[in-house]
Amino acid sequence: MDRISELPKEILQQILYFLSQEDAVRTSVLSKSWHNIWCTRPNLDFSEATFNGSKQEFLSLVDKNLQRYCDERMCVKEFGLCISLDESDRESVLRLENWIRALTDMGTKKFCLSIRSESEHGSEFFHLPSVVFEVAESLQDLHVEKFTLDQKSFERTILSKHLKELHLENVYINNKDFQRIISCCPLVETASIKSCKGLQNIKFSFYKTPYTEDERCSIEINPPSYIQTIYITNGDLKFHKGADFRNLEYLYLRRVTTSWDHLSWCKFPSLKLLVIDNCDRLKESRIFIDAPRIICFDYRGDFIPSISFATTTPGRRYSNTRVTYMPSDDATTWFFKLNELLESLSRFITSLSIYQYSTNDGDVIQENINLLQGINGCNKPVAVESLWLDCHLFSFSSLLNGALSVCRPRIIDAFFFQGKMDHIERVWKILTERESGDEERLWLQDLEEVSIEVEDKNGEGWHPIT
Amino acid sequence: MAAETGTPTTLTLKSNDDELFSVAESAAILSVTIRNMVEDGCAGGVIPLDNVDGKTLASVITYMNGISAIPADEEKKKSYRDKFLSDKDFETLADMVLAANYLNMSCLMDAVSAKIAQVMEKKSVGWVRRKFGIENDYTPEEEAAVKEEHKWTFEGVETDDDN
Repeated sequence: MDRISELPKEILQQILYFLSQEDAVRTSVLSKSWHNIWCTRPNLDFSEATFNGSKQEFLSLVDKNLQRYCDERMCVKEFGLCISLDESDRESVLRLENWIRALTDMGTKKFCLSIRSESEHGSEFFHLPSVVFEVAESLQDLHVEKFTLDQKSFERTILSKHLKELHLENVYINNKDFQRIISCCPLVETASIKSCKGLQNIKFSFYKTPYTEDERCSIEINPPSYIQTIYITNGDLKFHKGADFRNLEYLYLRRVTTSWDHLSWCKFPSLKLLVIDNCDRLKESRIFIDAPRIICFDYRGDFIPSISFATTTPGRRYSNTRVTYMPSDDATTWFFKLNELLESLSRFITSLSIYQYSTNDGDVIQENINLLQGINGCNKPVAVESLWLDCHLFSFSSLLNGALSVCRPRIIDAFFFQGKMDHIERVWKILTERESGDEERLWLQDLEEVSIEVEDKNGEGWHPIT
Repeated sequence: MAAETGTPTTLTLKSNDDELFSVAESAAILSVTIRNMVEDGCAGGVIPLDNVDGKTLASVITYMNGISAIPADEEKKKSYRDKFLSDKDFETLADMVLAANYLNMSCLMDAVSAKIAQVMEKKSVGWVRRKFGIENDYTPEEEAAVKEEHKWTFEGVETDDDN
């Protein structure tokens, strides 16, 4: 006998596992020994899209195959189905219900369903049969096209808790029902939303912090999108280059990875609020935000990003920028980048906060202080509304000095962990000893007025001291 | 274990034609069969692998070393597997799939099976028969009957004179 036909049946079935249903079934014609190999391969995969017979023939084909596994008390480990349904076609819906129940009974591990309705565009969409969410426990990938997804689709409990991929295209779904699916299916890794009506807010919060890039959940939003709010925590968001998010008003990205370069090519004509919070990958990119109506931009992170904004319409806009000075940062580069960022935010009323991680190595900024002089003359200090410093007392002076070399705050605020009265007195000294002539105090000379307000630990209000 | 002593433990594997191979334990335990032997403490001397010949075992060990050197990055592992299998002929692939099955290495088993399946994808019955040298032992009537039963699978297949 030839080499391939000699292979054990379980290996041949493993090979057939990787073939489409057509290709696998066709092997039965090869020779007598191949006649039944395909019948018991671990998976079944039917697509009406590539099937050439009638609807009736397709239904019987799926029926017959599934029945064979049931009769032989075997389990279809993976079941893939791509089918179109129509409301008037009660038979297809009933068959689908039967198949899903059979798969649940036999303990199928993985079920991928692509379901599309035939309804004409513009007419009301048919409701997704409730069996999909209420019975299909093994459902892993779900692609729904042209359906209404609402309470009728999951009146009772949502049982498809193993859902990993959710793709909605041309689906009518409201915010509440979308949230219900997402909250009931905690394993969703990939979601895409294309031309969905009714859905205005997308909120994905993945509680599990992914350990590797592979585990990150991925969300793809395709234009035309009617989405007003996107709120994503711990995920991967895919933007299409040049996409127009015409209705998007609020975009929150928290610990999100995304194709930042593509984002630069997107249009956000309605965007009012942009929050970028601890998105590490942004470090390697320079991004441009085309959001002429932006009102508020919040940034928080361990590094200073390179962000620029398109020309904006007139009006007040605000920015909260919270950056961390890491012990490993080079002071000159760091303050230079901060200056660049503040320059691009010059049309915003900026509240700047600087955190410094405590370090045992003493005052790292102090060691670099002479380098800071190099910044002088390169860029003008940028006016900001407030400067908030959260650092150790011993580096307060040099951190303030560095900050004042790149910005001119209206208010300076500071927070000292376990601050005591004598600390405050030292701050007072730092701020007022402007005449000392030390080069390191250079920038403090521009300080116009010093007044300190202290809140005691009982929070009994502010007491001005002079 | 290797990690505890700081020096990598090596295992000696013996093929069915008595060739000996040294392989790092950390790479060898990709095979569940070998891992079980190590865990049962049978790995002290030489591990005999009665169903694998020397040529195939050398190839499998190259794969073990290559794939275990790649950190947890599925993309990179996949591209290594693709490259590793790209120049293998069917005879070698058949030996590898049998070895992978015997050694219980699911990642290699899947990769080789997929590679063999790829050859059959969308190909006519005649083409697959010729490619693998499969002898048609159906009578013309029997063959026609099987074809008729599954006639929906004969659409869109690459045409062939004896399709």
